Amino acid sequence: MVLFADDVHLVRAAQAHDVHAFEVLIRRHEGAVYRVALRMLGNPQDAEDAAQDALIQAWRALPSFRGASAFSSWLYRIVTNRCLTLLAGRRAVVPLEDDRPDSRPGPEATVEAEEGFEELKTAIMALTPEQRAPLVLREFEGLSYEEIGEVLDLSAGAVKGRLHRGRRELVEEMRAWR
Amino acid sequence: MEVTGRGERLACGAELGQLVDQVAEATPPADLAHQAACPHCRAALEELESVWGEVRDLARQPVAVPAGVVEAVMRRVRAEHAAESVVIPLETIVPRLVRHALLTGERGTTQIADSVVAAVVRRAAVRVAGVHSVGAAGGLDAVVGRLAGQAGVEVEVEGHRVTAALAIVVLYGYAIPEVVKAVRERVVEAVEQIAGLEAAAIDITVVDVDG
Repeated sequence: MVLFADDVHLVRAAQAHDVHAFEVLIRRHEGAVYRVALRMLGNPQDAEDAAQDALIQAWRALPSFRGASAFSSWLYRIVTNRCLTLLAGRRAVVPLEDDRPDSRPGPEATVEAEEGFEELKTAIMALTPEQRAPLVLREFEGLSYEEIGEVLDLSAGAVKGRLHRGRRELVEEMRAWR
Repeated sequence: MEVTGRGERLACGAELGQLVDQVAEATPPADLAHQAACPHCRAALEELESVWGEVRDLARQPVAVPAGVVEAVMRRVRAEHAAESVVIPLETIVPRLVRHALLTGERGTTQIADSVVAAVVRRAAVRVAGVHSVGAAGGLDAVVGRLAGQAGVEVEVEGHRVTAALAIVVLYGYAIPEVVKAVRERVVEAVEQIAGLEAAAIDITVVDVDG
């Protein structure tokens, strides 16, 4: 039964154009992909779009996946890069103070998002995307420094440094709320 | 928390950053004796635990994925897959790889792909006493053969006539001419009885002895 096949076999089948195998794979990993997008982008609408884009991109890039890393790491890489690209675009189009979009979840967003944690979420969104990415992968997804390094193309040492700075920033932000 | 400036060190000299990592990673303190006694460190740790506790709580919150993400992705994937897989007869792309033996009967034709004939040849050969294996022991030939489905066997079919070339490894101790003779007989038999074709020529190369 294909439902219980491991990722390696499913990836191989999907690479051989087995669309159903790909569906089983992404059902297995959509939670992680969406969570990363949600924490990186800060609102459910953008996160849903980014998760969809990332999964479609995964299908298109599947022939180039060589299995050097786990499929899950590869997906983390795609969705994280997708979010970083989106965020870079956001920064590029906010030259005017007045136009600056509020990164806090809007009222309609909070209905669908989990309750509470508003200060923390705002503090996370106040980090630079480069600091936020390792923090999300570490604290919310539980990846090791090495795995985060694979996802972000950084050495484990560089990951540690960014995490350290990101945590410091986060703590400062949170203390400012108290 | 008594912190100076942007907060690099506590009044006792401990680095705040180290305490942050200690709390976030739940690692043991670098200086346990100091931390246990130092009021600055203990106050800082208490606050950090409270801040970081919230991070952990948020991380534990289940995140519901909006319904329909996979469905939307799969609609797109299926559309792209369908666009890619316009049916082009394989033979127009790789005429040399897919060939068939062709048998013309009164009520239609029968085609047997040469990979099937190769499989028949291979199975017949490996069953012969004294044959260690069919196929070169590694090397390009084995790789190329494996891509076509049958390492060490090449088959050419023309109509109902089959020419096969196979590489075999003979078990050490067996008389090679007798093994080769038996392989040829078994292969001819298999091609004729199992595939229903005519074996025009069976070329055998002994590439190694083993065992």
